[in-house]
Amino acid sequence: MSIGELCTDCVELGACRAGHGGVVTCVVRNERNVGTVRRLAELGIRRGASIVAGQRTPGGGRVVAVAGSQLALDADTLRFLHICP
Amino acid sequence: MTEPQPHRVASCHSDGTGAVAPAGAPVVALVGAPNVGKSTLFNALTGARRSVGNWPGTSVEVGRGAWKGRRVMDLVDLPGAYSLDAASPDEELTRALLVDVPACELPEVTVVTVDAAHLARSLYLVSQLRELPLRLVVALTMDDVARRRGITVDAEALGRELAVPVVVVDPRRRAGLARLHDAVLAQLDAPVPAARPVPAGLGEFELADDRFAWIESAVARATTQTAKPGQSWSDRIDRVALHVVWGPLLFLATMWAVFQLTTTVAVPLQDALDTFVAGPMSDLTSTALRGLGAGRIVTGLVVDGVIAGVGMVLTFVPLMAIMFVLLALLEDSGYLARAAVVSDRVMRLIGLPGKAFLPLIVGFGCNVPAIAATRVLSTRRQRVLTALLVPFTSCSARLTVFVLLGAVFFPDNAGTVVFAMYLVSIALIVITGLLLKKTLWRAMGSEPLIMDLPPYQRPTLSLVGISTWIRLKGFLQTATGIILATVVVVWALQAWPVRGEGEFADVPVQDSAYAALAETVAPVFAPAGFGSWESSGALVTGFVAKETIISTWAQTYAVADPEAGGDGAELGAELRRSFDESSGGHPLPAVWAFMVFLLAYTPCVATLAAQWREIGARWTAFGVAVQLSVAWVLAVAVFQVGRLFW
Repeated sequence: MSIGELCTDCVELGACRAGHGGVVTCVVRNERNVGTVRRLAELGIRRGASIVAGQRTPGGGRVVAVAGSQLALDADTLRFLHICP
Repeated sequence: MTEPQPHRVASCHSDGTGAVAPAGAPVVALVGAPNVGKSTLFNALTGARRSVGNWPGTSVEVGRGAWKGRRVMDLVDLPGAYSLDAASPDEELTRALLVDVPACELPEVTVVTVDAAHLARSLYLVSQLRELPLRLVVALTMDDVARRRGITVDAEALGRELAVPVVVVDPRRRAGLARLHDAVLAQLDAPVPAARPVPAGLGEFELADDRFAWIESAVARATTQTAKPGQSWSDRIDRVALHVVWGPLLFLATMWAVFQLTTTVAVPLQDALDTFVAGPMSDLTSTALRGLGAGRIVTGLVVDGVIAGVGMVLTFVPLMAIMFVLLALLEDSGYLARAAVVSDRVMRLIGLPGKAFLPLIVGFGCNVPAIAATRVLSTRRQRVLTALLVPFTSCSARLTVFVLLGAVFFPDNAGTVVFAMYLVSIALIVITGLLLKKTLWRAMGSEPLIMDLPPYQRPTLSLVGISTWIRLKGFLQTATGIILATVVVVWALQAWPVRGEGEFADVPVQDSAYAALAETVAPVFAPAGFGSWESSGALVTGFVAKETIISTWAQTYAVADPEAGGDGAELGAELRRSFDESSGGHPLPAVWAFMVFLLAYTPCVATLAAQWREIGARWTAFGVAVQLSVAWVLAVAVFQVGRLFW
């Protein structure tokens, strides 16, 4: 189950080039990541939010800029998030 | 309103508390998302000295203080929470005290700290609280940061949209505090407002969407953005601090610099203090006591016991102060959150999220608050595992012993030796964590890293000073409490003759009860190269607190050779002799083995008490068994391998 829908132009946030971004179109949700999806929403990462991918971090994660904040996300979390440039 | 009272245990760390409000004073709760300046506001309002830091999760316990003004109020500082949907025990505590308590126990007014620079995100908690029958006041912080980013918040308009009074405050500069006091007083006399209605029948995420829509509407009407944020200097620093390669290297370099600076600057100061304590101070006290007619027992207790023991520990105050200042600088600058991101990969190896790094880094200052800080973790398994690993972090009390041994046995490389012990500490955490993950915690899943990165800020003198003082005061309290008590017990045992012809307080220390007891333990440490009664006895008293190892050595050698008076140079010579004898001529591997044992075995009774509180007696006992086993096996391995080459 996901929040939002994927389109042909959508890419995983983790696959985005640094400095590029777009609008969050889909947040993949399953029975194990409900808490994660909720926390992301509270921090501003939810469907319709503008997001910019930043630099990669040790371990395969990356920094993202959203709603004036910088958040560090790990590689697994990045896979939940799809954006449309 | 009632809430769990934070337990207090004797430790080298304590949180500063302010004055207590009189009974019957109105209760005001202070809540807010993590890292919005809530504890700084609490300190400014109450005069308390709670620990503050520029990283999420600084406050995991409830703080309480009197908020004085036109009317005294009882201000309760709750742990930071992004929302009422708790994801960890510290957030559960906040929810419990605002939602799950009976109506009669709710706070009279709730002040929600809101970050003007991240308004939408901070208002989610407000939106949830507005759905409850609570009197609210919003304290808008970080207005200066928002303005620098081109964001202007109209507090009055925001108040109208939220239907909550909004007051702009700057707790770091103590601005707006009187207006906040007045706004809360006005709410006290006002009726409880109606809760914000929400559409019925919504699912969890639909309800969240409704709240976000309400928030976006309020933000759109109350803020203006006059400039697009460009790349900030925080972003530029993070290009290095969070870099895949440079980030971990910078982290290691930073920690090395901390320990190198600590030892380089502190050792000359410590030597000067040591000379003063062992020389003029001891001589003057002896002369004064003799002049007052004090007997041999009193003079021995004061000079060979209290001054030699406690005095020696107090010579480490400059070292601790420098270490605490540097840690406070790292905390206040915002670097610690980056360190958690950089270490996420290593933490995942042992089945823990990067967030678990924060309690562990706190453990390098003192293990006791680090155990409490495990509450930022969401699952019990993570908390238990982290609480079991925290004792392997090399706390500042162990640092004092490492510095002493480093200066005595490796005078040209003392800083590097100390740094090496911190690397050993990190390796111990990873290896023990891996072993536990592969055995007891095989089913433990991993938790995502979602780390809010606060902007870097120039550390403020006052906050660094307060943080340093809180920790230093804790160290001094330990020195005058636990260590003094241990010193008296050790002195009494050393004064008590069990063989030979001496009498009480006039007995060679090797004929004392202390030596006899230590000799029964010493064979256990013989395979590790430090099986002398002097070292074994010090390790036994070190179970109480690690600082007592130094005081015990100082007492032992002062009693053994009263003429030396525990002089630092004399202590060094005695230690070299003792390790040389016990190791069969391989003192350096024996010292490394001793330091490894010291690092790995039980930190102190205060840490045990904290573990007992957080993870229960069974896991605490398990932890002690693991620590002693790991410590002994590693120490033996280090000595036996080391003596082949050294």
